[in-house]
Amino acid sequence: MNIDLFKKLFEEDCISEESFERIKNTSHAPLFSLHWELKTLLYLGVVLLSTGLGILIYKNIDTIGHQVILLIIAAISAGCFFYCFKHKKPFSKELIKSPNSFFDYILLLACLSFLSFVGYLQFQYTVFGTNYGMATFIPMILLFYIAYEFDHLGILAMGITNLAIWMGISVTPKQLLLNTDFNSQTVIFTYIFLGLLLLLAAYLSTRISFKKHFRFTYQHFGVHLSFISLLAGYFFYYDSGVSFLFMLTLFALAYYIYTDSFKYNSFYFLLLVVLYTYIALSSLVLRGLFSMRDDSSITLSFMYFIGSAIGIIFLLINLNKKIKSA
Amino acid sequence: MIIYNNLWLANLLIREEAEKACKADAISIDEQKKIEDKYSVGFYTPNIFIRVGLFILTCIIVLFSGGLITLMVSDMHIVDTWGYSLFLGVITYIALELIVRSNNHYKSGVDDALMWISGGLFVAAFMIIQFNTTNEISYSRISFFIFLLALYYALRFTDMLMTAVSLLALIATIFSVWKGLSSWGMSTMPFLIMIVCSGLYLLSKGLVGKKLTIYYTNCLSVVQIISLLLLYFAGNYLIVQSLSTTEAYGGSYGWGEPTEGKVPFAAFFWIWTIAIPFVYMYLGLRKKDVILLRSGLLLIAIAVFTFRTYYNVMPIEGALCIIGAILLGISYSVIKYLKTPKHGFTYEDLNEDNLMDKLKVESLIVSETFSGTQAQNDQTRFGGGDFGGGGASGNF
Repeated sequence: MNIDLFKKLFEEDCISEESFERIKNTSHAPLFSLHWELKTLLYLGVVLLSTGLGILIYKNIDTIGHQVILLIIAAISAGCFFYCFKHKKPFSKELIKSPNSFFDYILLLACLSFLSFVGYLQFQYTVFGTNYGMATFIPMILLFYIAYEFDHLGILAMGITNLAIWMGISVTPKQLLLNTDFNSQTVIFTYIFLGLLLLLAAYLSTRISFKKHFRFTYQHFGVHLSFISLLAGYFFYYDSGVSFLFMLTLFALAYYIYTDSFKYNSFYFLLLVVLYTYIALSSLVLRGLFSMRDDSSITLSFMYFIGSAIGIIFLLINLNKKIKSA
Repeated sequence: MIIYNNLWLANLLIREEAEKACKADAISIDEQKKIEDKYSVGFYTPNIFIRVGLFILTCIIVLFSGGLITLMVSDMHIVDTWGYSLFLGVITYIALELIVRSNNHYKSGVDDALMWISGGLFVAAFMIIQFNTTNEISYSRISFFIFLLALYYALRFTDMLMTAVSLLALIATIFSVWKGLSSWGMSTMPFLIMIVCSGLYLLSKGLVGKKLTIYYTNCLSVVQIISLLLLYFAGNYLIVQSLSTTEAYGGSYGWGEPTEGKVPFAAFFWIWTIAIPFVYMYLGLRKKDVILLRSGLLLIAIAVFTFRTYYNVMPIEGALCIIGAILLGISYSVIKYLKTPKHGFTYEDLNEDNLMDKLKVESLIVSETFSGTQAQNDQTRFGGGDFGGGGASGNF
């Protein structure tokens, strides 16, 4: 820290003598943090080791045999889980800090190896038969449980993606995927449902104050999924009147997210809501302009984009101010 | 030279210091507030999300404005002349100056967008002139022009990315000029680049904290990082060899066959490839210089990669396992060793917002590596899933 600067600040009576002394002390022997470097090395170590082991097992599959490999993977997973359960702090509805810096990584390793265990089991022995829903359902439940039990946001995100995979499979089974003309209607509706479900989860997390800090992750996935799938729905039904229903839902949702982002002072969701709504509005305006079947519609649409983008900039700047003062 | 209000820039620096001191618990929040009240800053600098939004919207505006003008003049057949690009570039640049001067935008997204678009248009205009006047493309002239332009932007707007562009363009200019100068240009190239880069590094290191460059601290860090990396790459065996074979075999790149073609002073380049990362790390630890230390860490990986390209000591999986285990062992023991701070080093996160911390490199790597598995839609229908950081919290 810059001693001269703080000396000047001290003379200007901006900081107390006590604070000035503290700054003088710390700047005599500044500590150099290796936190970031060591964490990166740790992470790289976990990734390299697990990849290396994976390839090693894969290459020697003929000599080792499937049971042994399964046993090894299960042993790693079980060992890691054992460590985590032994060292974990008691469950709480609030944020729990992980006991030490290795804990998160070991938990991650446990979950990843569990996933490959189930995957291997299914691939080699088809334990779940052709019931793919079951094969994704069990890891999903486990991931959500682990995420809540150990308070791990990364594993929560993994759980959410697993949920999406599970739902995708349940709605469009393999047979439908194999046919080229599979019904994208169902996919759209599933994703709208999933997005709204996640938004509900985000809402409930704070409402019943159960792991409040998970709200962001749920909301993040929920907002993207529901906006994108609503837009997809609009374009899918472009020629029929139903498309406007999607737009109406989108605007209603946008309003909800908008008020919500003010409640939590979230710039991120505010930006998302503005941009997604802008896309939706622009597609409506362009539709209107091009339905005129006039030569001027191209010029008009260019003008629309210039004007509206300037408008959105001022809107964003103002909303930013509003959220700051809120 | 700087377009911004110098008093505000100075106040911004004071505020940053106060914030750092507040994060380190040296001064109280009230005191920080008092300092902020006293040293006011009139810049408009929104947070990163709004900045991204403004950047996108400004790009839309410029794109459609340009499109509209082009539409109007499309009958006059001037669209593909250099004057037209120059004209658009000048208009964008004037808009940039106006926005920054009258609305006090400072790294707000609007100025970033205008800066890059106007720069791109100027370069486009220059390139069209080049194509019109001569038949052969002169890389050295184009890169020299980019160097001058980016340097101007970097100096005027204290922009870090522009600094990086200008530095890379400078090295590219030196490379292409020296290459064309004489027949021994290619063989002396590594040494020339080394000298230039070490000179640039020492220069930027010496300029840090001087009164003249007080507002360019971040830009100077960028210069340091890039010159250190280029200094290493200039002597990296793989790069030296592929460049020299490119020359010998008439311009075709030969990444695939690294063993053919001999490199003079091979021993020197091998020592350089292996030793320099460790030298960086050693110096970084001794001088407590984050930039040196992290460059060294990064370059070790590249040194290993280079080595493996030429010598297959063991199969990849064995190497991965051993390196992974070693890394785990090293980091584990260092963390244990530094449980209580020793020799001025600590494992504790001091919360100092360094340049690289802001980039959140680790979380980027995490999401990068784990999202890869999702794409493989294999028979078992298992995706590792998108994953957002090892226990990283997200309060935005």
